[in-house]
Amino acid sequence: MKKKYFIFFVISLFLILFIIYPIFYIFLQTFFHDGKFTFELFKIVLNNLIIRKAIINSFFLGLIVVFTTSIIAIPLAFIFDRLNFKGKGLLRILFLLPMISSPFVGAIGIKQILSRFGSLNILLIKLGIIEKPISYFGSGFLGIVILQTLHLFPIMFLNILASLNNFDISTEEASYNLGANFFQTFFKITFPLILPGYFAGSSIVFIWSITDLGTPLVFEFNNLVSVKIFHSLKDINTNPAGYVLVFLLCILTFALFIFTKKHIEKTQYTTGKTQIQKIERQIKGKNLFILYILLFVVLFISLLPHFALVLYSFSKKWFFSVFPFEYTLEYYKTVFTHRLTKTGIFNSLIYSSLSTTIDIFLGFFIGYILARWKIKGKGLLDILSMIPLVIPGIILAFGYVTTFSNTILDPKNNPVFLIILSYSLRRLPYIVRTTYSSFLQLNENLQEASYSLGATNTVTFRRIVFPLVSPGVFAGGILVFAFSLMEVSCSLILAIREKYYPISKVIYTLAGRVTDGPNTACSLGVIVMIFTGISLFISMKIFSKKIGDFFRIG
Amino acid sequence: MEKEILSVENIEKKFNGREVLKNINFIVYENDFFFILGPSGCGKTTLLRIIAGFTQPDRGRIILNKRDITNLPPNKRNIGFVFQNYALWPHMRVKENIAFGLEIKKFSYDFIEKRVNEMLEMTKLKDVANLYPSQISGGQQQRVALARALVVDPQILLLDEPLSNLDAKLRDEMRNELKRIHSQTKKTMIYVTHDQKEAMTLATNIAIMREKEIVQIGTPYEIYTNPKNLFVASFIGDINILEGKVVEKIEGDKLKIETEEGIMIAKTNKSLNSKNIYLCFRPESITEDTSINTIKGQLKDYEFLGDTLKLAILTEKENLFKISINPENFEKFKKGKNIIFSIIKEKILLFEK
Repeated sequence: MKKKYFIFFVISLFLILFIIYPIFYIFLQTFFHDGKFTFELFKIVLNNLIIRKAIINSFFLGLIVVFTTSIIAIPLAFIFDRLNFKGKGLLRILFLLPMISSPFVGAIGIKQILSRFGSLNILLIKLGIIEKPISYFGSGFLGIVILQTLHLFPIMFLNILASLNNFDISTEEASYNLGANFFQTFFKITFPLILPGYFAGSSIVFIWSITDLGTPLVFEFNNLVSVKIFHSLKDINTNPAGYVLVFLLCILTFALFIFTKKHIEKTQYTTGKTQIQKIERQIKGKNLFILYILLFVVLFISLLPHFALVLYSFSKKWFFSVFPFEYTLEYYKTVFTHRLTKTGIFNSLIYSSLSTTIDIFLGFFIGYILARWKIKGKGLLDILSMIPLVIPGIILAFGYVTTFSNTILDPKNNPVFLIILSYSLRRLPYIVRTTYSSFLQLNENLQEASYSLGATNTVTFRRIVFPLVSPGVFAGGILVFAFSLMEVSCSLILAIREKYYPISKVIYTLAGRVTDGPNTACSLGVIVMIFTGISLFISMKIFSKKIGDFFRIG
Repeated sequence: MEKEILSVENIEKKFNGREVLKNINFIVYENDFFFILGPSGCGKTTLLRIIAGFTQPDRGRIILNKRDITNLPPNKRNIGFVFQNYALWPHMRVKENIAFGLEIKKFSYDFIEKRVNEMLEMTKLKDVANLYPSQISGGQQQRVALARALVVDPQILLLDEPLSNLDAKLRDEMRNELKRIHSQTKKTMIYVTHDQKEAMTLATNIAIMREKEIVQIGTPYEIYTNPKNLFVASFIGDINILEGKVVEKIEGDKLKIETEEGIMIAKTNKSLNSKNIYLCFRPESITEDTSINTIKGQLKDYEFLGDTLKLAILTEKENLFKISINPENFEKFKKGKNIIFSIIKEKILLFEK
């Protein structure tokens, strides 16, 4: 028993130090000045017109992206839930593809198509549809909306689809049976019942959108909270704006998370444990053709940034034309020869594999403790391991830089430890949840049967528990690895010196270099994309449909 | 004298302050097929888990072969356990499930092979040896669980409601299988169930449990013919109950009892502290000799069971009695027919109110 409490204590302390303490430090810095409690910093920062504008911009960005993703995701979810057609399974997977790269990487590609003299304008001018090039991105804000929408709608899609999956069609039939029409049924029955899933999806999309750092940076749109926080780090000792903004962001995400959770709990209607009826309408012939066209158009648009990225990575010359003049493999060669890209790949592989190892190890342990140990204070560990869900990368990274500056962990000297930790802690909740539920599903009798035949704890763990639980955990591990490769905010903020850059920071840096930088950035982006795609596919094979759990709250 | 193999002494257990076992004492002898019988929620599974070592008692001792094993972890006890849900390992084939215990004990490959084959033979699982648990039927899974527990030659075997997940026909079949395996292996077994039929057909000894306590221990015959209280009497077999009042003692061991259905004479050597009693009798404890203890009524319903005929008789006072008789004149019985029967005075069971 003592040993159990010791392990419990050590894990909890570790999580408190690297999750709670940095947040706490930010709160302190926001409200304490010269050792006194004060709202002074708040006033100063919020009186600043530019900062106020940034807050309003971020808020609107979040709302708009929730709206645009809903418009795509809701009909899509209904199509995939209610209709049955050939190739449905494959298409469902294809609609997750937009997630396999960070939106900022796609942004580099799409700039080539939608910029003032990009492919689309050139095409439209050639066709005589327009005379003067259209500015699609405006100040860059519109560009961010487009990229985030295309990247985030699958998350919304998965959340709504999950809700619909648990939806008993007979509740709708009952409504029709009592004389309600389609619209009455939709607004009075269907929508209220899927609202929890929709709300959860909206929260994730909203928070993701306003804390996204990479995309605004690529579009050079600086008047957003995330960018302000990023730049504030340069003069954090004299400029308190960063602390206040991060504080506000924290409050917002916490509030949204708690509200969502409460909302989901309150609306968990159980319609009994009976088998949920599923009636799917078979689509054939002409209707199927129309459906395919519709789905492929949406898919094509949503993958446009990726197509552009691929095209750009192969293009030798591509100005003022719809397609590149010449194609080359040169930039892929550069990826493996250029000093910076080589460093990035090497670093990322190290960071990601170590953070995955930590996650699997920690996740296994915490999941096991939560499911099997009967010790006091277990709830604390549960909360601690779930908190990273609510902490966007930008907040965690900001917390690390400020909290650990001038300590042995100072990322200005060597960020390796903190980068690895930030990668792993951010994905820890998913792994913990996966292992926890695997352990719960694992009937305790299976272990007891082994003990009763004389097996020790170790043998039982090795031969019974581990083989039964590990597939889920490793599938989760693969996803953690892929997500770590894509991690943007933490990488951009924590990797300050070039020799510690991970891939995402290398891509960002290269994209900003004139000459051949963007092409190489794209090639690297494509490679990561392929890698992530494969990982996603493998995990999906193991997880089957449960992959959606990785993008849900509650 | 039979050899004592397991002794359970003063076991008590609370879960979150709620008492689930109280002062549990019993002894199991070698080759016993010992049953713990009780309604669900009476603590019988907890008791079994304490014997196996999966749950620690708050008080009391478990003695196995003269050795105190109360604080021994389950993997050091050499006690077999068959789980209600079988707990077969889904990632191992039937063969591997059975071999596991022998591998743990580090037996040679040849020995394991031989033993596993013997077990497969005995439990008739040869054909499915290479399949996974999910690919075989419920009855087969049950036999794998049994083989897995038996293969390591445990000192005793514990079975937790092993037949409850099977359908009626399979349950009958497996009951016979268990009987055969018990007599073939001569293993001491402790079997937990709420099914009195299983207990009556298989047990050498039965402990009846009611709400955290053992009420009576005895052979099936003892328990059936001489139940300690009304609970035991009504839990095992059918019973007819009539409220009554002792009015007089005659000839030392006979009692005159006043009931709704008239005066009854019962022969008993039980000493009763109260005058208010329950007069009970089994359906078969009746006779056609109607000189005393007569009850009159109308035939309400009947059930033909092949070897016996069960009649439900409703008296004028609205008491319903179940009696069983020889089915010879089955055709004679029509619903509504007037029936007269008498209770055999020696077979009347009396319990204090």
